[in-house]
Amino acid sequence: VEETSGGDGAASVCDGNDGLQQRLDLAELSLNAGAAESALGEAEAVVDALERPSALWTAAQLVRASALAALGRTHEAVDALRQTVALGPHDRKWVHAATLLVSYVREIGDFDASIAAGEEVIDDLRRDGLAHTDEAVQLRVTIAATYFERGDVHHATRMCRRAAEQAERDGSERACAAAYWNTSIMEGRLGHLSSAIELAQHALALVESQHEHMWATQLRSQLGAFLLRLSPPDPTTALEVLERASRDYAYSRAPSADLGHHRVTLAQARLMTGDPDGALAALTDVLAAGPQNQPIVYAGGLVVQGRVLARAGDPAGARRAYVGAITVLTGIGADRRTAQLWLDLGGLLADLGDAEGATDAYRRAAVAGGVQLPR
Amino acid sequence: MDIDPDLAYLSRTVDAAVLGARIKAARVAAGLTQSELVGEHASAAYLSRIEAGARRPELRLLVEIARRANTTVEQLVRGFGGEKQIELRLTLHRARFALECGDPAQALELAGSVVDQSSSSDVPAVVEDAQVVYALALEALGRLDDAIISLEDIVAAGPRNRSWVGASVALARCHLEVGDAGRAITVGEALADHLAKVDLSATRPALELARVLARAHAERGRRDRAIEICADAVKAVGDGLMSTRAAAYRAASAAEAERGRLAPALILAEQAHELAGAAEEARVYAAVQSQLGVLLLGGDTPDAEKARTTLEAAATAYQTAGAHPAELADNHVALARALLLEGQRARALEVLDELSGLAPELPRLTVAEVAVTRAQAHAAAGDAAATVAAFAEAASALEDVQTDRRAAQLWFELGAVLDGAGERDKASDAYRRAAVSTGLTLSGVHTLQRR
Repeated sequence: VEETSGGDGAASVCDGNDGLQQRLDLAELSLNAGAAESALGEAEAVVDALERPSALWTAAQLVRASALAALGRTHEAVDALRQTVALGPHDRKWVHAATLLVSYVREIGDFDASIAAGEEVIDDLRRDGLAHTDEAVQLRVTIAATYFERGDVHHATRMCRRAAEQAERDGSERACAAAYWNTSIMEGRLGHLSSAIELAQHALALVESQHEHMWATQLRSQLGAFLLRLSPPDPTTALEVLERASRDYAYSRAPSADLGHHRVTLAQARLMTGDPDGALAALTDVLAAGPQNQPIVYAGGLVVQGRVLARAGDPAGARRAYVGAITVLTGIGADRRTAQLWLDLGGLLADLGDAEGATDAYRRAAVAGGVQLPR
Repeated sequence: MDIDPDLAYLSRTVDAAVLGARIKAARVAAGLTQSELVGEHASAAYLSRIEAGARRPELRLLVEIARRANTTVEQLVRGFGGEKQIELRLTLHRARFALECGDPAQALELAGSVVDQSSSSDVPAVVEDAQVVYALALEALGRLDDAIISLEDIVAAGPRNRSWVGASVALARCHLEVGDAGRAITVGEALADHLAKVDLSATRPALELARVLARAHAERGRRDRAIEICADAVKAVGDGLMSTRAAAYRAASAAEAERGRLAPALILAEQAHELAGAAEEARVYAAVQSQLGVLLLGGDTPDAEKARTTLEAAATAYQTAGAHPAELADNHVALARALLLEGQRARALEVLDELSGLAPELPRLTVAEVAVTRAQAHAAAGDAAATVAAFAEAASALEDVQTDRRAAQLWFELGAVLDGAGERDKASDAYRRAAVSTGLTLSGVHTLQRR
């Protein structure tokens, strides 16, 4: 589950310190342009120049932590955010720092600590009267995402629904959309696709009215993926939504992981609507990138490629593609996405008459889905 | 503070000596000292003057006194609780009784009516108890999400009366039932700390909590911690069981009666009877023992012998305490598995056969579990025909069950048994169903619609 903040300018704070503010603006620009090293240097200079924690200090710490995370130094980013949450003045940026802290600690894999860090701040928010801000809702859904990852999936979806209700009462469409989107992703992961689609459509309507273009694009991509997994699938509507997202992605600065998943989903939709050539075209960049950075995206790409080949009457080529996907999946850890791919592969290998391969893939799907191996 | 204006007026005009006497009576009835009644809100000396009628408490203090003495401002000011209070308490009793008798729909309606009719001037404990009964009725009706929402509010308010402990156990249990083991542990451990602080670690709620916590830890892969919790609970409660004490009272009563001393025999018999709920406590105790046995069977190095003796002890305890059919079946299945691990296949099948009369009363998932274990026993004996027959029985039961982790595990175990028996197609199908039962979806990439 991913958090959705819809892009938050971290740095604009009027702190009566114009020179430092300009340096911080520059740091944020560098960060957005992908120059994390330079952003880190500037943000650290601003932090060092300030004698005591202030709104500007918090903003500089946020840029610093984001730059550290972008450089893969997540543990240091967590230290910076812990310091910010402990010392910073209790304002909206402080809540944003807490939100980042929760998600970075989750990334490290310490779910209990992530939840504890967030819930401590939630208690403070009630005391400080900040419980009804967009940032507070964002923090809640971020904590909910950690609960979800830890396996407390019902508690997580309930938290998101409660957050959405509160945002609706407070009249905040942006916070409401964030809560709906997160709930939608969770429902989708639980296999409750109708509910996931309804929530995603609701979130999309809210996001469009707020002119949050990047966010709307990500939502369309997600919605398309849900429509393909419906039983029976709705590839026509999915393709329409996904093609629109593709056009928007072309003009946006989307994270490469998002784009990779989107292309595989688009390829699936094109194949299912009878356009195998279009499917292969969508996969060109994914397959060219290889498995190094995004093994699951690559394996997903191979599965779709195999299906195109099977349909074209090339079972040997299809089998090669599936075996390629199996090799990639065997080498990575188990999670829901790999479990889903194993299950898909099981069905496809059975279609090719490979009963042994299918049985093994189904067995691996169950294990990746959380089943314990009997003794 | 939401107080009826008439009551507020009366609190300033009622005779101070009468009010003081009522406050003192309420304090004594609640078993509180003067300092405990006023807490940090006033000094004991000031309360002493109020009780003597020399001072009149201000409304805010009066509200606090009423809350702490578990009464209402109305009772203190007017001197009676009114017909409505009696009616609410009676309705609440009926709600509790309906819940105990297995009629949660009726309990829900009655407890809901108490909550709806109550107002700020009612005894808080009655309203809070009604909220707890309402939430427990939701749980019993399987409306777990609604139960959790109600229970979260009650538990968040903190321990204000006895029913809070039951509410906390129920909240942890509901989280576990929907699959949120981590959240169950958070809620359960907070309660365990509280019970230890107030020296209630050897009580029935503590036993019930141990069951929930052990299962939750086991689900999160912390089997050692789960075993520790069960073993501690069995040890802490074993000697102090109410049923044990009740039995002692009954024995003493019989001895007195034999000597012809009927009066003390009657008193002892009544005391034994007063230990109400003893059977229920013994049942929970047996359930914790059973759970310990199940846990000893898990992990990489199961202790089959210790598991078997623990499960046999639990089976004996269930016989005297009276078990729910599903609990008894769970214990028998675990016992059969322990026997299989020890190589006692015939005895394992006998244990499973003892459950045949119970089948109509068992949940379908449990029926499947019995059949899977039977399939394992037949497969171990090399009886392919009987293995496939047991598989068919298990598959039929599992098809009635919604996707669920336990169902996924059972499908997987069936797959493993069939794979070992050379039934590749059936094994493949069972593994596929295991995967789907973990919540994965089959649609999308498939070109063929599978059965």
